[in-house]
Amino acid sequence: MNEKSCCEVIGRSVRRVDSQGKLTGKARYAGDISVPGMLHARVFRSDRPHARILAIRTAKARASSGVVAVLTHADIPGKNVIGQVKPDQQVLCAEKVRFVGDPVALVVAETEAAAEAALALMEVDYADLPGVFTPEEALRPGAPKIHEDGNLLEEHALRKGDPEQALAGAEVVIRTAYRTQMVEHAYLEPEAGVAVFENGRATVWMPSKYAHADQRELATVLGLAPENLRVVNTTIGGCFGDKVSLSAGFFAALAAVNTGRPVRTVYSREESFIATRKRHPFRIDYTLGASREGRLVAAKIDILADAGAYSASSPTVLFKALIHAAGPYDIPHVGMKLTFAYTNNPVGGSMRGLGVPQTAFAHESQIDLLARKLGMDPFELRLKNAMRPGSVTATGHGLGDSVGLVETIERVRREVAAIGTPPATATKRYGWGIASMFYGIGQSARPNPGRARIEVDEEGRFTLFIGIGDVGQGSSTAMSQIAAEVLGRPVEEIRIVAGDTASCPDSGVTAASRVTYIVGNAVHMAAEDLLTQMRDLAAGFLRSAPGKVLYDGKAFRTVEGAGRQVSVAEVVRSARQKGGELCGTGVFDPSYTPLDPETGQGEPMGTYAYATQAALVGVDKESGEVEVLKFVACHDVGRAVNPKAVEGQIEGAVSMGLGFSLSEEILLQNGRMVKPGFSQYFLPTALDMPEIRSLIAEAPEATGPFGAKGVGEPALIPTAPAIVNAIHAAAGVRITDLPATAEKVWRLFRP
Amino acid sequence: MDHGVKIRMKVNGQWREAETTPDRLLIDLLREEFGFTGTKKGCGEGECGACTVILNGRPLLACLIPAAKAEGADILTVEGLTPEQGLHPIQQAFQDEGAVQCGYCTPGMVMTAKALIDENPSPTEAEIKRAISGNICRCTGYTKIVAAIVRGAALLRGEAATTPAGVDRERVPQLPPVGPG
Ligand code: FES
Ligand code: FES
Repeated sequence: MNEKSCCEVIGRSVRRVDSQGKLTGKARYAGDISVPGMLHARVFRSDRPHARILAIRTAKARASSGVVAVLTHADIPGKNVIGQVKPDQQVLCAEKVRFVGDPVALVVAETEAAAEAALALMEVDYADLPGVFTPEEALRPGAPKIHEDGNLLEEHALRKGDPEQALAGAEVVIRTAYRTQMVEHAYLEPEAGVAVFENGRATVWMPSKYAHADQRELATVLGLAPENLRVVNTTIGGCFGDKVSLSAGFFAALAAVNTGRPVRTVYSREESFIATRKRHPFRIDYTLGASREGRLVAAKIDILADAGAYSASSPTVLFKALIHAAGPYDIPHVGMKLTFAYTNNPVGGSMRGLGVPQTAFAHESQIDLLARKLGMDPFELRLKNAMRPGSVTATGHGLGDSVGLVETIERVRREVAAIGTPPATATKRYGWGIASMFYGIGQSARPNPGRARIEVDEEGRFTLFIGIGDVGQGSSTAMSQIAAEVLGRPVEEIRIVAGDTASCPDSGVTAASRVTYIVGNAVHMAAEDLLTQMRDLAAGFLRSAPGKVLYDGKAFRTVEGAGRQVSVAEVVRSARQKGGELCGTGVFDPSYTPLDPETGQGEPMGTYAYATQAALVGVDKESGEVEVLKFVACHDVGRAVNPKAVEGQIEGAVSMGLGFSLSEEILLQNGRMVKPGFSQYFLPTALDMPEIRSLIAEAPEATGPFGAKGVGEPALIPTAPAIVNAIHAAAGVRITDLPATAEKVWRLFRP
Repeated sequence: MDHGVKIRMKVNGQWREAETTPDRLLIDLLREEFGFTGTKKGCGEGECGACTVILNGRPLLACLIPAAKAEGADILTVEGLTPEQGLHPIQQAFQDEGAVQCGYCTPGMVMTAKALIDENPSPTEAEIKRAISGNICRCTGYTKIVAAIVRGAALLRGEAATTPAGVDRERVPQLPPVGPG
């Protein structure tokens, strides 16, 4: 750390390092890249939910004007299998298709229009197989098998205490069944990728939230050694957990390797809806027991999830759901069973919150119902059971000091009281709903190291290398801030290279809200490491001890002062003359203990973030229409590295949560999307947005960089239950399956 | 195969010509032929607003009209809005308000804002929300975008912005800690 007291840069809303390029149109998204002589590849996808492939006939498409190649599974040079957790998916299907949208062939042509035209000439003979479209059907004995080893993808249990006995003795028991819908990420940039293959080496430019993992996986598909494949992350036009694994860049690379020419692949919006992964629909059977005074005594939770056709990130989603499904409360007895089943529906992937927005909808609805039954104030009930330092989670994890939940509840309560509730009108009823959450930062119960490197050149300029791309949330800015703080420089003076496998260390994935906490720590360590190296050299120069050398961001001088100093640039030059390079490195991997396979007990996460949100809604008694008028959100982020960016995450998450709770749903008929695209998928617009009051609570995490934890996903988690609880408060009806469309609410008025 | 047609239009102050097929969309011509990739394609079906450009003074979705229909038109894209040095006041306001996240909606938002302010130099928040209601942003929740347009309009009127200026570098006030309930 430089000698100036902390913090000059941390905790300030500095400008984003990437906004200039994005505002002027100069930022390069993958679809903006053109390479001379470039071909265009389009994916031919299955229009059957479940079928055996009898023949793939490409002759007509091949003969079509402008077509250069039509590729099938036979043209895959390496292994035709992907799946980062469980390898069960093919890049181009060989024997069988398992959902509408499964890739079968790749048409490569001189122009996009020619590729598009040739898609219509593709002929595939299928033998249809009976489809399975719900997880219940999938697990029924004798159900058609989607994969060789059956339709059960994964099952896990959790057991803490004796939930059955505790529930039997509980004074109040509430049991409710909840359902959540399939949701599309709907990032505004459709997937795209550009690939070049020359002299046995491939380079792929694509939005990648984990370039090194894409490099490893794609290299096996292409039959290349990983060092002969470079993945360069481009500006990411949103991802929200998706844009991982089998993406447009994979297909562009496959086409480039086969044709020897540069290739670009850009998905249409319709294709993006059909082909990409979705939020898993959950069925949750939730039983909650409490004493008459409102002390939670037990929870029993059964979850059945529709994983779609392939495993993708289902195991990750399952563990996140398991860790969090009991909510941010101290409950002595908890039992859970989680089952993920394959279906012939679109593939379940990772989406902001990884299963926890679904489980939070259930536990926060339960808490609200319990408060009603007990005649207790919902804030009071939450305060009574809220996790505090030293509380024990459902997985048996004893919490440390950074537990700011109580503060978030108190502050939201004050804010709500100050705003008040409008009186009912002839047709409109108003009410507030609240919801809380906790969320583990980073990946669950497995190693997930983050790495960073910082170099300094002969002019004394610093460059930060991290393996992770900025998905729009501002991670590059936050990481630059951390480096800038330690190195005593303004943020603009830290160059950043993010997500290029040729120069960046493997930092792990941009997901699970792990970047600030995990990669941020690595950046912090790398900056300290570099500073120590420079200080040691400077001490030699100044004939002093390192402990007596001061640093002001540009130069080192001795404590005694007296005008003796040496600049960063001079230190670097002299190190180079001696053949040495100055380079700071850092690696951080949060400690954890694995979850016991039988009981789900363990300490899976390094730390947890906490939040409480409240929504004021107006419900129209005639139409069932719900309008969200005000929103209060208080998040314990440990330390806000960039408060404006935290606010931006909260506001964005409120809009996403609004869509999740009221309007968004992928509708399927026998696995087929009814109308893929934005026209029938109702994303919130500016007119739907309430006024939002964002409050930041800071319960510093001792192991986090400057105390920081994270906020990307947590911001979304309590939004939907806050809105659903508000609907109940306003109109007296309880929504148990999302989304709460006007029609559903209206129907509840007329039982 | 389609027959090529020659079309001519003024883009960002310069006349340009291209040979294209009659059904080619304006967005593809701007991006692929003229290299103005600042204009984004979020859906290609008129549903997201990412492709908004200003055509003869009015905002228009470039994915909805064939390029041939723009024959002789005067078109402004985000590249043309950007001054040689620095940023246009609307862009500046977006930057100051933190209204950019992934940035994919941003050029379309900025062009919609420009068309609005050209017509209505002092738009209210409600007018702004209506004007951008055809522009989808999945990241920001629109709050900071609306604030940015208010601020951009003020800057263009030559007024000091009404929202707290230079929020960067400003420290968030620390609220008093609250004890357990
Ligand atoms: S790309 Fe034109 S409206 Fe979406
Ligand atoms: S900033 Fe990502 S869509 Fe608006």
